[in-house]
Amino acid sequence: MRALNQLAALLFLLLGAFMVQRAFVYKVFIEQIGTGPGFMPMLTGIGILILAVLLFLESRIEPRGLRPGFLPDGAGWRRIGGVVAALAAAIAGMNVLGFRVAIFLFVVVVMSLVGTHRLLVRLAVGLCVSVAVHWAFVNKLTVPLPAGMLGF
Amino acid sequence: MESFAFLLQGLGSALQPENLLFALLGSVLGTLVGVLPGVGPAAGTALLIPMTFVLPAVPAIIMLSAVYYGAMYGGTITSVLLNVPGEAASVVTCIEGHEMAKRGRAGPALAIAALGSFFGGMVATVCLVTVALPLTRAALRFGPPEFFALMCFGLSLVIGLAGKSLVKSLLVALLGLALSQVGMDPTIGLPRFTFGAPDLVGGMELVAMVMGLFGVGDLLVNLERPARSATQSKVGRLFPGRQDWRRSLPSIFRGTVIGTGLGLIPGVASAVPTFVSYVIEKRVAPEPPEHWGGGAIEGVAGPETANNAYVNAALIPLFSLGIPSSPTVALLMGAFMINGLIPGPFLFTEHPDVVWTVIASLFIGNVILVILNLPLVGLWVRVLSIPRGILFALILVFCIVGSYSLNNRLFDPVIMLLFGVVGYALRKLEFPLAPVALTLVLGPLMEKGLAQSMMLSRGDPSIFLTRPIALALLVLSVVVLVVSSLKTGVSDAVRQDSEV
Repeated sequence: MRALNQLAALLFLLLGAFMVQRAFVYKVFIEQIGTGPGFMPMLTGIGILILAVLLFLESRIEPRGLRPGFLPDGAGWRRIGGVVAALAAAIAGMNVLGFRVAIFLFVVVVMSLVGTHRLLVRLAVGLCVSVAVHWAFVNKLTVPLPAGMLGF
Repeated sequence: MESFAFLLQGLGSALQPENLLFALLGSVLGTLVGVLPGVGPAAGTALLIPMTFVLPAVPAIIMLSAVYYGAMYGGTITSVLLNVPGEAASVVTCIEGHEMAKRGRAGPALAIAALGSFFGGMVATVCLVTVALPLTRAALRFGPPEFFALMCFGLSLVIGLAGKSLVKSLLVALLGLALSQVGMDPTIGLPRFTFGAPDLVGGMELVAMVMGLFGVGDLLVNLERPARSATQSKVGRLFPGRQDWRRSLPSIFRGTVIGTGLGLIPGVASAVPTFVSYVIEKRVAPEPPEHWGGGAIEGVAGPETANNAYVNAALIPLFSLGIPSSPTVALLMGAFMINGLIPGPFLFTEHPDVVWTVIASLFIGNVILVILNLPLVGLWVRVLSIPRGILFALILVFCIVGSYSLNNRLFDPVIMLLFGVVGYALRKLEFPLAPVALTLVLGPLMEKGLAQSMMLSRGDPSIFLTRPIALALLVLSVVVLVVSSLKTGVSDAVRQDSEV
């Protein structure tokens, strides 16, 4: 955990520094008004910088290495990575393939990654979910969903 | 008396068929959220907010409020029957409730939990009615410095009790504050942190970020391990016997006091009243020590009552002062703001019809929940037999389409996904998420309060020192953070995000 917390501290340090730098660009004080657009970013950035240093120092007393079971096993990483990739692909594909096709494929992939269902079950559930959700949102909640190049 | 007159008017409006329907729908969905492990009240509320865009303000908020307190009822069912807490506040119920179920007494456990929750919820709502107007009148005397200081105080309580590390809690609070600054600044309308992207000029959507942090992030954590099947106990005879009532009634009264009292304090996680109640019951109830851990009905009655009393009482700081006390209440506040209403003292003066209708609906919602939960227990448990693959796919589909529907653009699902990964990473590194949710909602209001205060004082920060209420609140904020940093022995079990 020590290394991970130190990495987190470094990332927060970079964020804090970035915010302070931008604060000066946005102007911290404006003479006629008082606090400018950069005032809150300045305060926030300085706060993050200080706390990032404290986090780094706090992490130095932590034991090295990770406790057993902290990270998922190979199958766990495959599930997590697969679902994230499937989400990204579904979002990217919605405008091209259309909502119904993208979500149908998404559901089939997620069920393949997470469960142990037969192909026919996955296809059937994917079809039902994509059609039902599309109907509910477009027809009942009047939310226009992407049609894609295929037109549906 | 004035409050009760307003309440009667609100009740008339809450009993309209449309509002009743959405109270019922919210109660059903809330119970479902409570039953399903992997979807906490915060994620459930975030998923449902986009669906309320087509609704008028009052039914939308009635429905989302019902989801909030309904989730607490739902969590009890799986705790008792499956030893699986649907949400963190139901963990305590697993200890005694599941033991009762193993002895064939699941029915009395569920019945006492439901009836105790009903009583606690109703009493807390009566407190809300009684206390809201006087508190609001006091808060109307607040100016921008007092509101800013009040928000700091509310945040300090959440941060102080949020996680094991105060530094991590403060860091994520500031992270939320930083994220809330993306978009147009409230002073002169200058775009900040937009990197030239038109999609960022209006800021990042709160609901998309919360869906990612709480919904997707939690789901990714659940994916680490393969699914485990839980052994279900039978419900059996539903109603408690005379001895069950004799032992439970004092616990229900105590739980009501504990839950209502703690609900008034912003920052107290929903698991805290349940643990406090359990500890007190063990000390006060006349049963011998060996009775505990073997199905003590007091250990169900007290905590479940405290839980629901807490949930209803936690709406008091929101309605009267505009201070959300937990991530889910922060989202409710977001829902108010999406509908053009700002929770706080001005809500009572500018929109009394809305606020009293919502408060009246809390009574109705509690009645609906006790009717829903007792006879339909078997149905709720069947929900858990939905395979994990289908359930997770459904939740993610709702995340995608819910975030898309916010502005009909793909940018928001991208934000949702990004924050899902961030939420997963924060969870793994033991950063609490409650402070992020609160600063995402309160950040713009805090900045506005600070800017207005500085304008009032022409840039002189001593305005916060010369106004006694603002000074007192800021000093209290510092005291809370200092005391919290001393780690006064609050159990790690309650220093957690109870609503995720």
